[in-house]
Amino acid sequence: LGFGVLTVPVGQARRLLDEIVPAEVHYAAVAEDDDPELATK
Amino acid sequence: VTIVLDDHLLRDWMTSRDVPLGKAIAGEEVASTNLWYVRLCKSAARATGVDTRRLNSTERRALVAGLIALPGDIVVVPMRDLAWRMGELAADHTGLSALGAEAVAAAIHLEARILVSATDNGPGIRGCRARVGIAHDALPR
Repeated sequence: LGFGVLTVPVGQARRLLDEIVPAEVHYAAVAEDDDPELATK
Repeated sequence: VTIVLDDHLLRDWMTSRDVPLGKAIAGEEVASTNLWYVRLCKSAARATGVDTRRLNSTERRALVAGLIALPGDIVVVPMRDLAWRMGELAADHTGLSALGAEAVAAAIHLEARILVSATDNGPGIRGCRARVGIAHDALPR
């Protein structure tokens, strides 16, 4: 009860992560982040 | 020589491992920082682009957490080992964020060079690392 296991087919984890966080999405998220201590400077 | 990757190149290394990035790393040990990893995790936690409609929110979070977990061969120096050096760098170099200070402090700690995406190549980190003698390259993306 309340416990489960999620499995990802072998070799698919990299592709799935690429779909979840595409490079352009991450660049945009970083550009929009207003936390000065997490800024690229 | 260890190579400290920014969050953009860390993402690329964890997903596609394209040829230019592989050549730039050239089999060296890969590292990143706590705060660059935090930025990547923030994007992952907010991302909605993948088809996970069959999963409830708890299951989806668990899936993303598993996918974004750092492989064991990627080095991240604990913040407790970097905090004093970060404080010194921030005190000595105006305009340096905590993220930038950690990047330079980690490179000093690991005797590493920093490799960042040319698309997000901050002047504060570039200037600070030059003054403390850390190698720094920007990879076109």
